[in-house]
Amino acid sequence: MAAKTEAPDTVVAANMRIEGELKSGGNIKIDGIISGKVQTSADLVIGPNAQIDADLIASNAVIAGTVKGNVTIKNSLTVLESGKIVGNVSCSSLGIREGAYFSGNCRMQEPKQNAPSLEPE
Amino acid sequence: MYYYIVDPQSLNQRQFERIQSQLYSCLSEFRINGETSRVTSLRTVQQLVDHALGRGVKTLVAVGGDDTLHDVINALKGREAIIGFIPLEETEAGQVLGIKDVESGCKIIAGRRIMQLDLGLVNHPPRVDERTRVEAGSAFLTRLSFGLHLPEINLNFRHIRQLFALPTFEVKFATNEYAASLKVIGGQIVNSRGDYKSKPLASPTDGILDVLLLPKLSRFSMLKYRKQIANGFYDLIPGSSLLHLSKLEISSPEGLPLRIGSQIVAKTPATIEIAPKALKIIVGKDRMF
Repeated sequence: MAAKTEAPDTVVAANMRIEGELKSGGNIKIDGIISGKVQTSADLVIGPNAQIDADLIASNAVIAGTVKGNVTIKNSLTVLESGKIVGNVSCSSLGIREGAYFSGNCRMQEPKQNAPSLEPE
Repeated sequence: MYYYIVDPQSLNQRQFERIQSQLYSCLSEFRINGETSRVTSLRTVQQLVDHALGRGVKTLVAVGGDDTLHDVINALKGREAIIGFIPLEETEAGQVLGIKDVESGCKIIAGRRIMQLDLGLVNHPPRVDERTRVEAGSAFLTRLSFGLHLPEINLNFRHIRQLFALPTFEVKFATNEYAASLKVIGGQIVNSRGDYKSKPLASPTDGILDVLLLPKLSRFSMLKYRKQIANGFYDLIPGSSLLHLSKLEISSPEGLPLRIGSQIVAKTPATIEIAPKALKIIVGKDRMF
């Protein structure tokens, strides 16, 4: 996740219901109910009361609510104690806290290693 | 040539005469004299704008409040002109444009720093209301509000009762990408607003409308955030929704009044969209974007 906790650019508050594709270039925080697709090039935070029936695409994500759908994260994904994911996950770095629920396949990108020097010493 | 449309608004005759003499003196000092017309019940802003544009005026200056500025912008109806603004007192649009009062307004008009700003459009192109047969459509530089309308909240018993009794209603709207619904007590559709804290949020140059929706809060939160509620700064209140859109159509509830400042400009169902860089306006160096 981003080191600083900045105010999210898009906020879907509790009890708000969205059907369709929610796209943003900035951070998104969701506490409401979404079905469809959520996509951002920045960070995504799914609050503990959120109910997501959608595919998620983001740079980084923290999930504390319920997600039914595929989760594609470019960098880091953290699933908190209250988080529940039913779907496939793709990310570079994964953290799952004790108590979280995850049912699906996980595909991770291997971390890039520095190529060994080929030049003779 | 400058054409000044002076709207005395709520000023009494004495206050208006004092400000008018200050205005004339400033116009002379900065050498931006032009024709000056006063808005009356017989000479509306629309008539004055039509008259000025018919005579080939290129710069129209609204002298009055935010309502005057919006009236002048709306009276253009797609015709090209550069707009100036001289606020008679501190206003939100004045803050956005970096214009505090008559003197700074005249100085800024003389400086002629022209920028192209976004305009929010309500029901564009204007529709004819079936009942009243009047064209219903409007443009806004600042923000459009619906639901709660509290010009001020003090900590007296009447205001607190009013605050606690605010009714909730379910607002439904659709964009090109999704449909949304939420029970709220009020909402704001922001193109720009006069608050330094909102600088990254409400820029009239980003081609985006910021939609703020305020749900029903607990009584404690209502009291705690009463100033933000009254000012419409819902993004500063926890539990509010904040979305960024270029176009939305509010379908429900029907007949919900949409306000620009204190004026009701349309009722739902209504389409609200952004027109990027649609307004050529003179701005000051202290502008908020």
